Amino acid sequence: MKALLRLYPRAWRERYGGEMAALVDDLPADIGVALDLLVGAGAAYAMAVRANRILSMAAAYLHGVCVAVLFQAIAFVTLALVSQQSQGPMIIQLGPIQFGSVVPQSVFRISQLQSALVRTVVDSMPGFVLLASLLVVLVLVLAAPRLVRRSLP
Amino acid sequence: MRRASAAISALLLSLVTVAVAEAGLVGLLLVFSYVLKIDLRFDVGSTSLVFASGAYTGPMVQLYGPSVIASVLFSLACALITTTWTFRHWRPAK
Repeated sequence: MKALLRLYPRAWRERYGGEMAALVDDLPADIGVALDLLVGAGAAYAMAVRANRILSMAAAYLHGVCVAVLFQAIAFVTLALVSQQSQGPMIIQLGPIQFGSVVPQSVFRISQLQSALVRTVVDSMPGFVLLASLLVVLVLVLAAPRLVRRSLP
Repeated sequence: MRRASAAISALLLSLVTVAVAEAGLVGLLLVFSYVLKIDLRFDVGSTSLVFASGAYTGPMVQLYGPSVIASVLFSLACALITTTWTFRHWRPAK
């Protein structure tokens, strides 16, 4: 259990490591204590990052990149959902610049035997689930800095 | 000299971060195209990369060079906006 204390920042360990090791010795070695130590390590790093302007900016940079990747993933899934419903070819362009295109494939589909409504729902279901999951992740990522700021002293 | 090397290091690190994020995004797109049963094709310059889902039922999504450039610029812009906002609004902890 004491090994988990190595996950804390060095400055924190130098300041509180001895006391914490003595405290961990007195506590039972169960999963709850391990989880507490893990969450504590995360909070200690968040405090260390927040206290330093350069580290805060680096964390913000990473946060921005994560948000951008999530936005693009959502755009791709939306494009895939739209393309599954379209009958003809589709071109995505801005003025003369072409970014992409969607070409429907004319191959026999077993699902064509099913009714059109069932086919649409069955084909689109994974896309909608994926889109909903990505939106939830995006909301969590966008809210993360605020949640961390609120939970820290 | 020290400031210049620090600035170059920060620039390189930020570009590597965006490159890793773009690679992760390509990985995500591959997984999504497999899940959604669509074929994905990248046409960048004279190089073409095709990832077939194997379902032969879904449409083929083609992404051209400008979409890659736009993706990198968008990621950089988002990262720079959040960094600038943090730089301007950062306050030392009480």
